Amino acid sequence: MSNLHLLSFSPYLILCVAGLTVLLIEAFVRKPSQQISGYFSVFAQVIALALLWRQIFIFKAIEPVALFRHTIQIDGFGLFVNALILIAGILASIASIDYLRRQGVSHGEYHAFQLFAVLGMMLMVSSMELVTLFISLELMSLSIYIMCGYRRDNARGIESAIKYFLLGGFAAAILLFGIAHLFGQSGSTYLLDIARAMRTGLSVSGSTIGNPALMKLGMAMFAAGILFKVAAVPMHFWLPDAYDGAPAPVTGFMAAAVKAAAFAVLVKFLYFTSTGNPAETNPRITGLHPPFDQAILFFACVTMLIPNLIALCQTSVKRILAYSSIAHAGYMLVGVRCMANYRGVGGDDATAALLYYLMAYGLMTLGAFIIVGRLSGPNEERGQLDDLNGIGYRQPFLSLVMAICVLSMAGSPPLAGFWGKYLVFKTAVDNGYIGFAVFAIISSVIAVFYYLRILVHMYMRPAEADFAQEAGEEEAAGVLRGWDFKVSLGAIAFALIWLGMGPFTVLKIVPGSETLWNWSKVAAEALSNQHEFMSKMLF
Amino acid sequence: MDTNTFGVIFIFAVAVAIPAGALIAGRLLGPRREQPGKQAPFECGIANVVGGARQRFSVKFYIIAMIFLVFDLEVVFLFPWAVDFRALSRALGIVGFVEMFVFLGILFLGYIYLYKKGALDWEE
Repeated sequence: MSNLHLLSFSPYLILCVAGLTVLLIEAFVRKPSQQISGYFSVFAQVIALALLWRQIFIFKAIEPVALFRHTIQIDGFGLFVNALILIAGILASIASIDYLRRQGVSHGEYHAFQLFAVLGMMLMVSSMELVTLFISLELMSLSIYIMCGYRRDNARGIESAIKYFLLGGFAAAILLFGIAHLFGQSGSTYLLDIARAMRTGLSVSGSTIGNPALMKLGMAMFAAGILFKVAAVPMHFWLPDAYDGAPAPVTGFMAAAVKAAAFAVLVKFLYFTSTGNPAETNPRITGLHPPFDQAILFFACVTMLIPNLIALCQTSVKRILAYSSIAHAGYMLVGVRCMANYRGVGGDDATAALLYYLMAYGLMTLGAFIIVGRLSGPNEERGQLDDLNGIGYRQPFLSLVMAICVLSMAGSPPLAGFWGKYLVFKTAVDNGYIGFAVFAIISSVIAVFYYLRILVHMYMRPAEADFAQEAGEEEAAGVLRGWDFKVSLGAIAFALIWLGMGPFTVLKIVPGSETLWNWSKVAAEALSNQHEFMSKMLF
Repeated sequence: MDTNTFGVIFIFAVAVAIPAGALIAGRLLGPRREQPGKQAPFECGIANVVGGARQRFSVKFYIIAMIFLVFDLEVVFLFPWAVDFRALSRALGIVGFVEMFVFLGILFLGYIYLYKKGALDWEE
């Protein structure tokens, strides 16, 4: 392993070593050690992000780096999603230190699990081989299950962990079965070999594929396993309960990072396995096999519409946000559908729009969940809409950030969420799916109702006296101190506004605000360059 | 009868003979002191085997079982490494040697954690 390889793998190594160190801190430092572990975890993730940042600027110029016999590949696409995961991890860590302190938790193994979860996600996004991918997915999932049930004496937390664990285990089995079929037909678990088998109809050993239908079945099962993690609608039933019962920072972390990692894997997988007509020689063509394009279209439509309708009649803020996070997955699936359809130059726009959406969505959903956890009392017993009444005047800072996050989710123009929606829907229009785009816009208009409802409760309803007093006592007890928490929330709000000021060079109102869009495009191009490289190798 | 079939039959015979021999030798040579506890059914980790299934179990057994699993799996990985070490070190050099110790080191950290947390203290 050369120095370059070690450098590109260093963020992963740091997270792994930091996770183990947190366990040692827990074993040797006297209680309460939760905050020591927590700040150590934040520190490690910041270092990992800094190393990643360095690579992002190096890797603009040079080729992707393959590690460990090509099981892991570090490229522009993976780096973008890894950076998103790390940012979400840092923000969630800061919020969870505060959250656990208010709960009176003195031991901090939580932070070790979070580091392992981040490591699993980052490896999952970078892996080019399905067994490595599955192991990293399990590293992520198992850590997340434990984090969901971290409040051991809380019945809803346990319910959340059990439901997520059972259904997640089932989905993982389906995914693994899909991998087995792909391996059985193509003779390899490498994405590139499977892609070659898809295109040429020859397995690795050079013989023709025995049963191409099983290959498609394997693809479908793999996609189903990933769509479960994404929570596309027929596979979404675990999500409201899991999100509702988990500690709020974990919910935000799941909504932002797990979804980003799962989407990245879905995109990568579809990019490599999807082929147009094998007779066509244009290497940039990526098209899904006939049943899958319709399937993604169907998933996108129901995932946009149904959770928005269910969220209209929810009374718990966390459940509203949980359903809204399902709906956002639906909007992102529009991007996946268009990405898989594109023909011609500039087709990276759909992927770039999806990446931009992931980043914007990650920030706003994480912020919203963290604040709900902060506003609903130490044990989250006040999570109903009515409990938010008048909170805008008692907790002006938290409410302001919450309002920015919620408006951004609704797609209000000067915020990042607007550009995410705009870019994704624009690719749908560019691809000729006018009806699809109209459907998406109608769904997102329905969603505005329940987003505004949160704001109405926060700013336009009179407060309940007893809870106001309680909150006052909390403030008097000094619970609201903690500058790191405030800085992290302020950073989210600032980022949403700043990114919302115009991601295009034409609308360069705020200098640098178009950077994320450019960066998304670089990441998308990195993916399609790989695809092109692969196609050249095949034909 | 070819040698393969004979080998299978021979191993089968040995497999029957050893436990049977042990049981017979125990019956002939061992002292027999009957106690009620000896006659009771036994299963590791469950205090009352007879009775309803809705009883509480001591969590200690499960912790011990998990520790056992971890270190058992460690051995599973160690065996092929050790058996094929010569070929491995030709192919990978010092890396193949160091990597296994990284793996062992991580497991050892787990052991330290368990030890400090008191998972190995049966009496508590």
